[in-house]
Amino acid sequence: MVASLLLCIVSAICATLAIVSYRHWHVAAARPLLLLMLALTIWTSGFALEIALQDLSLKLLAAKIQYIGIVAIPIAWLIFAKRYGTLGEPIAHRIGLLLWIEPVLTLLFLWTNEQHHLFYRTISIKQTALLGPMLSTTYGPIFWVHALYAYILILAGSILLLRALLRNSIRGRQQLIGPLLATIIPWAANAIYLSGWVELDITPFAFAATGVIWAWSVFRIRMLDLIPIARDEVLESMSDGVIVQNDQNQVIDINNAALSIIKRSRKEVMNKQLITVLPESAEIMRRFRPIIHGSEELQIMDTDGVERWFEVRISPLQDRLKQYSGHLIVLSDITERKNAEAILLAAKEAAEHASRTKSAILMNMSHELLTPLNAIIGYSELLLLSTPHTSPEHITDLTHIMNSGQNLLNMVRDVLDLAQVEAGVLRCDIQPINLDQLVESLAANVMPTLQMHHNQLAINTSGKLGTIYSDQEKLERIIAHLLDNAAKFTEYGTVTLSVYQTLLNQQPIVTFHIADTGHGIASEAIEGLFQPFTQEDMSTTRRHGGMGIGLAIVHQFCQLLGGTLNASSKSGAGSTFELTIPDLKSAYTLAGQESTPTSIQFAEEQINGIDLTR
Amino acid sequence: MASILLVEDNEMNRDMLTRYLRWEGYTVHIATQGAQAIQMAESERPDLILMDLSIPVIDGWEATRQIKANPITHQIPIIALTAHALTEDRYRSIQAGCDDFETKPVSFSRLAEKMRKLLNKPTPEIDPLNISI
Repeated sequence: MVASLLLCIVSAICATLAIVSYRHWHVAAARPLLLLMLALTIWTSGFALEIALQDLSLKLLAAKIQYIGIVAIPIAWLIFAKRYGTLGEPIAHRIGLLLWIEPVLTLLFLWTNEQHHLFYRTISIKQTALLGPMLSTTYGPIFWVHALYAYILILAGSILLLRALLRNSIRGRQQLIGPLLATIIPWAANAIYLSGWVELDITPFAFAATGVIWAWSVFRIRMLDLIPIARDEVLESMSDGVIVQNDQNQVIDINNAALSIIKRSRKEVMNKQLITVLPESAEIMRRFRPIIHGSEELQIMDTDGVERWFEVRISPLQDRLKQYSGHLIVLSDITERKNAEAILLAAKEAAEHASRTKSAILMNMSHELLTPLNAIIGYSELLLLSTPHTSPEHITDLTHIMNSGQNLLNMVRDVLDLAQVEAGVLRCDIQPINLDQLVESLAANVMPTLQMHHNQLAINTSGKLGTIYSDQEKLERIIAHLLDNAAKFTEYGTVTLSVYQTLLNQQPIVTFHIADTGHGIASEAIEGLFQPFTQEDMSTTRRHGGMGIGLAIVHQFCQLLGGTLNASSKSGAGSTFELTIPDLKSAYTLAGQESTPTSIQFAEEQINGIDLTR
Repeated sequence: MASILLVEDNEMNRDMLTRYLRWEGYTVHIATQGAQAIQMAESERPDLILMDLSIPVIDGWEATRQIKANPITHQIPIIALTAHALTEDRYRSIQAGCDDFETKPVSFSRLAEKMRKLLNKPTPEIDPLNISI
């Protein structure tokens, strides 16, 4: 009774697994598994019946029913092994049908055994201590033929799975160890029983173990889970090429995208060396060979001679025991990105080249303009110097010529300065600057413009000013320009120049405030104030002259001196410019040692600080 | 009154500067090439040299170097005249031994100021170039 009950449990397990397999019908390996489970269910339940029933004829009937399952098992096993061990390639249909001939014949012989006794030679009831009355049979030739056939099929299936295991070409070793154990256990038990060592047929109990292992395979390892299918689906629908390579460098999986990239069919590449399939990858694979993650750009020549760029990402694969087992290679087509990059780079280079050319042309042109200006200003000045021989109206005319020449000269210099700043060839010439003298001369220079616009000048200084080390010429240019602007854009008002010497982070700095009471700058114009070629609007340009590059140059000069320049204004309420300049004494002190240069480069760095008047 | 050696190859500039310098009362000697400038610095012993840097054959920088290397002429102050307003050029002229620098177009008043400074000041006793050797 116990044996019967046990067999019923095993049968129930197998039936459950059959249902699970049926639910996973879409998984290739689930179909032969369903067959296997149905066969096992029939066998174990039949065997349970055989033990439970007392009558000989009924026991025999149960045995005959069992064999429906028994003969199907080897075939189901072989189909399953073929399907699972070689990644979904089924047995050809015709061979599949041929496999069934022998089992069907065996069943026919069994069911007609009473006529010929070729399957069971004798059948009797034997009393056993453990299980009570049992069928005792001696076997005829048909049984042995079937036994041989079954063993051959099981062996073939086991070999298939073993080969797959050794090639490591399936997703996980553990997924195979289960089925393999599940196969070996019952047939080992069967072999033991047939050899006559044990009285009882232990095969069905061995199948209990088989059932549990199947369950473990299905529920723990999720052999039939949807995940691999979903992954296959994702892999195939990807636009990136995916290649899986085993530790022998053979291609063992490849998706459609990868096939279309390398222009080969699946048959041509499966189990081939990756290098023969994709020669371009040789270098990369060698570099990333052992266990390194990496990505690299790879150029692949299309068959029609078009170059395509791919990003190749290589990740080493490890099995569940953390053993290196191959590589995953992902190919992404980045040709478009590459082309766009190349176009951008070319455009950038062209723009930079154009900008350099522009600066060079501006510099050359400015030099050419200076020569005739030289003559215009120089000769008018000469003529003015010899006033005793010049008539009064000629003096006025000459003054106009000279002033116009001077204005033109200032503009040409502005253009030249801007070109130099943009070409990056401008240097600083650091020297000590007497701030009192600087303020005095700046005030004197702006006076004519101030008077022209009926403005007053107010100067605020924190007592007597000291010395600062900076580039005098550039500093003068900056402040003179700001003062000049303030004087030009203000009428009947006040221009205030305030100078403070303070410390910022323990470094001496000088701050110049240039404020006016003029019409101010519109807030939206403040932002672009230090950009070249912007004046508040064209009308101011026409009224006040200039090309709108003055503030841009001033700003660039200020940066060259390491200073900051800020503008604030309220439309109608005047503007304030705040210039802060650091003391560059350290640069000058270095330059002070210039008289003993240790090397040309060193001297070159220092020369900026030479006092030209010394 | 002091004598000036004007080294300038451009005829118009030369004419203009000569007339201005004479108007100021200086005696003006003229050289149009580097070699001539070196030779005249020694023969005329001017009180000051105005040196255009872009003169043919031996340029202004080289002429300055040679004049400053000659013990007979090395104390003569030299003001470089150049159209190049680059700090780089200024650096090169100072490196060659020029005492001052004036960018073209020359402002007469500014040039006059620089000349006065150099003519009234005794020659610097320590020549940076000699120390560096």
